[in-house]
Amino acid sequence: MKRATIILLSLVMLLSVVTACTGNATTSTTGQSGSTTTVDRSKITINYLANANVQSFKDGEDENNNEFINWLKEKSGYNLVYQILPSEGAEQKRALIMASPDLPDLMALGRGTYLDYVSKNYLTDLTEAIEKTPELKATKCFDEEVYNMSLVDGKPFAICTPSNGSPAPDALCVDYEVAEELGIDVKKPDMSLESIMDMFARAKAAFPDLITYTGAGKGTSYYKLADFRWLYAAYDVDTTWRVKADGTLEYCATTQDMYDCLAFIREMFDKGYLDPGYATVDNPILQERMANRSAAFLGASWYDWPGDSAVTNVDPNTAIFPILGQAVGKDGMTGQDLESTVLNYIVVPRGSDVVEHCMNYLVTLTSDEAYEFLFYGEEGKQFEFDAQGKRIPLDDPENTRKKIGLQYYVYYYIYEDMAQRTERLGFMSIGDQVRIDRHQIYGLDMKTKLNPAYNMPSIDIVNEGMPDINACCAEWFLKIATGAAGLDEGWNGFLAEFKSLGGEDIVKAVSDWYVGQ
Amino acid sequence: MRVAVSADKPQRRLIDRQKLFLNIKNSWQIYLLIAPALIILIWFRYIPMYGLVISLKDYNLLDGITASEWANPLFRHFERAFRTTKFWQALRNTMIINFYRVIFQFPIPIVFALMIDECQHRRYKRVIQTVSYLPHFLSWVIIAGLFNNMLALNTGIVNQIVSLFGGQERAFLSDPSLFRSIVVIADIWRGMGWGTIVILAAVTSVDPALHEAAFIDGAGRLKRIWHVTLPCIKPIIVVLLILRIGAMMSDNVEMILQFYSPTVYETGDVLGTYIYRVGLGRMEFSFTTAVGLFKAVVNMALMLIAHRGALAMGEKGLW
Amino acid sequence: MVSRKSAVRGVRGDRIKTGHFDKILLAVNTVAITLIALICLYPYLNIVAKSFSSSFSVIAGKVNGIWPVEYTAESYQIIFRGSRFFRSTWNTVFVTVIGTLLNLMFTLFVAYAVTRPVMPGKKLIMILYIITMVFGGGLIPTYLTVINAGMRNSLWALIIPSLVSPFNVILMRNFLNGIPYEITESATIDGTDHFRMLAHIIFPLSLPSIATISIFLAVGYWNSFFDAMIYIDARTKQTLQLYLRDIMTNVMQAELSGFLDELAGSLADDSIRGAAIFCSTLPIICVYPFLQKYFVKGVTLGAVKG
Repeated sequence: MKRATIILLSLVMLLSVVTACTGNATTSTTGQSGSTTTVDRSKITINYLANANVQSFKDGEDENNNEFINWLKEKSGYNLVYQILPSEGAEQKRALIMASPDLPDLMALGRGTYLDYVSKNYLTDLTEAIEKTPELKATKCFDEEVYNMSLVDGKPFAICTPSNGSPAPDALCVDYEVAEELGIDVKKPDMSLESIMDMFARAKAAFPDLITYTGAGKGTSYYKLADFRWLYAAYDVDTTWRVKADGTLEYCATTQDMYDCLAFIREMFDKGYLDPGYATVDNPILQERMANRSAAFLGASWYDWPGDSAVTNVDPNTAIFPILGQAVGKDGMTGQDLESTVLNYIVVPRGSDVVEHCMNYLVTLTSDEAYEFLFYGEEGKQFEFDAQGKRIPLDDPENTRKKIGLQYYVYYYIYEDMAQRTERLGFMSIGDQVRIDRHQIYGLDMKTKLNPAYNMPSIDIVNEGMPDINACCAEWFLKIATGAAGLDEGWNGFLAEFKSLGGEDIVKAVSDWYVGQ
Repeated sequence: MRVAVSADKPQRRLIDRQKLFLNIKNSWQIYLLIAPALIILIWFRYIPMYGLVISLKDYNLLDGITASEWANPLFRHFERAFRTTKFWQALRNTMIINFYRVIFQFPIPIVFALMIDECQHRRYKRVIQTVSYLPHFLSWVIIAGLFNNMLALNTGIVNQIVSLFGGQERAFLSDPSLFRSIVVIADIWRGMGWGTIVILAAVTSVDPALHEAAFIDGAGRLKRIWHVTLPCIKPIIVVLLILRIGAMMSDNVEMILQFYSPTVYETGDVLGTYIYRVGLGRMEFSFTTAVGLFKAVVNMALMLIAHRGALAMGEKGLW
Repeated sequence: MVSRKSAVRGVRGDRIKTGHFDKILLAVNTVAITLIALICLYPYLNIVAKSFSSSFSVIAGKVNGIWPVEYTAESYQIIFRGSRFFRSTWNTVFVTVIGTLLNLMFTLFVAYAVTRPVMPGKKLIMILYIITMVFGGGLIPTYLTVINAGMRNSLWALIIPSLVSPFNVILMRNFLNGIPYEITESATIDGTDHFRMLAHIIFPLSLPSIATISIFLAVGYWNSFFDAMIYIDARTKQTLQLYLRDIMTNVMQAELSGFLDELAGSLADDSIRGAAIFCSTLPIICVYPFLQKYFVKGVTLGAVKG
């Protein structure tokens, strides 16, 4: 009996080995050239793996049959086959597609995944293909700052899509009645740290039934306590990494400025201004507070706002929660850090045999004509020009038409266009805020395009250690903010754990990388 | 057939083997019946097991399993897991939460099923049962939202009741010492109705003649339950218990993800959530496979222990 | 009123004092299970109420009872818009019906096989199944195996690879073991025709367990999401859960992308979730009570005693 079992199991194992070996042979041809002008493009298929997005297609249409993709097929001449990742589990799906024998020819990645794939040799080196497609170099993707982001060891493995952050900065907001009662000028408030603390004190005295300040603390996943970014900026601990006077990097979470910032937050807690349930408040609860106006001050980010016009209105004259702005720290430090200048990294997986055709397709995709059509639609149908030549969206009952182009096919965003959208929603664009940080004040130079916060190199020790560091920061900072640990007790505990997790080695590794750039 | 002679061992074996062939021949119909199921089992469950070797390699998606390089040193991914204290913390939390579930959650569907069965009115029974499994269909996001509501400071029902009785209001969900209990309670509430389905089916197949006999002998309700119903459903309970113990390493990741926050990591972080955080966006297949393999081995060991334990107590085991 | 039970006399002829105690126990029992049922029912009704309430009242936390506040059927409009809902429901029905039938059949066969007294290899088969409960190849190897079998983008990928779950086999086996041996023996005396035995004897006697397992299977197939997500790409082959999740994430992420001006973007998360849950659980709630009548008390003893 036992013998039978063993024999059977080994047979099964053998069978599985044989199957696995034969079933997984991947062809590995490097991208070959072929004269792209004489070839019949409609016979060439380019498989594009697009990222998940919000909009769903009209009935009868799908990602490979709608006016946008048809227009693109016509313009470029290629037979395009798009596949859209699901919104849930997109990472897993992408990994499965990479593991399966059918690889796409083009796909869009975020920076973390991009670096990961480069280090694992999943991607094609595009130097040659770019050389053969000179028209590509004339596009916005090859602005120096943008192009440099795509380089790994001096070689481009991706074509970067430029995009400048249009999301609105996080800001301190106040209930309009509270503002009136306390005499706060919402259009030009005094945002110094002392003034803010004073506002809290007066609000608590005048409105004892309201929660003085609330935020969605449950969403904290690393050292930036959720909905406190307006405060972090004043201490210049907003950027994750900072450059010191000697040119090396330091990790913001372990600096004296961070301690001071935590002290401020702790003071808020000690004096009863901070929502005692801060650590358990998540987005739905925050929105509930906003809808019921049960808090005097908020630290909401623009995507916290519930999708209801009564509350989303942020016009300072009529808003329910007019935006006050960011705190101003010592020497006038204020303003949140701009996000990365690159939105996506468009890559070609290793083994694709249509590399150059892909580059050609990108030429079409990045043309001004395509941009106009995909981003805006047609003049007269989706938008019209106003007196200044700015595009004003028309009330289109088939709004979906334009939005599909915007979400699945458009290649990059021009800053002004994105800023316009933000403005329409009543928020200020992050690029328009006033930003003063240590670099300007103390004359320090941060090579912003190589800011590790957005351009984190793929170093093993960092990849493996960072998640635990992030968890450690979140845990301890929340403990301090919610009174579970004293300020100094918590701070020392945090530093001790940070050290034991190898944090100092990680900081040194990143700093060395930065200095070596 | 030859008569067995005591010193004639080979002949005894011959008779056994003849018997074996005879049995196989007689059972050919059964083999036919289960052939498709077995083929599918081997094809789709056993053959992919070759993939477990990923944990010993630095798996490269494009190269495939066979062409990926062997990890250097071979057990690198296992080492990485065992090195971090957070891993052991997650492991400890996993086992403790599961331990609570075995002790508290396991008996409840049984009790509930018995209670339902005692109800005399047939239609009411059906209604109660249908209603009781509704929570099973609510997603954890919603359940967590509900609990959040109930346990909130100032506005939550629970805290209001507590302060009514003069107690101190607490932020339940951010308290590490209470987190596990809350999570187990949520799990009990959700799984209670669904778990009674199996038990109820077992309870209803108890021979009514036995109940009648007990009743005539003067046994009241409780006595009948104790002496008739419970012994009859003992086999299925034991099997379920073995499986439950064998699943000590399983973790309800979806549930914990919705409930936990950084303040309760030390008691609430389980293996699944730990891997989720560590592997977020990086798809570390070798690492996750290594941890998964470790979990499976411990699982198997526990199941074997429980199985042997059941056998020792005179019950039927798993196989 | 004269307690009927007091008229029953025990073996020794003395009165059984079961009357009052029994009644109290029964009353307490009924109250208890009613309470429990209410605790289970309330959250479900609450989320359904939210699905019919205006988004502002949901966000503001005003929908606390079981009645909608500011009635609106917006969420349902989104779901039923277009033909995708019906197509995905049809796909799910297909998978559920075929899957449950096939799975049930094979589970019965395997359980039957391992309960035969003289069946060589039955222990081995059980062990093979139980090992798969604990060990698995992992996501990618399983995915590749299924793809190589040609089931990419096919609904069969949701049925075939997961046929016969060990847990169900164990359950079924336990029930079959509970069937008195005399019944099966009387059939074997006439010659071992397993096919006939299964059809005429085993099947009718194991209705409770068949009903139980069908419910598990049917609900499992109906609610399955993960398998569909990784194997199905084509929109035409989407299942109901996939479709509903799609809608939910669309709605919930609409604000993130700034599409606040579109109808979908102004819906509350819980509102659309409630609608999704209601749509997917309604069929189950309707079907289950009908299956309950198969939980009949006792085994038909006529076959033995007669």
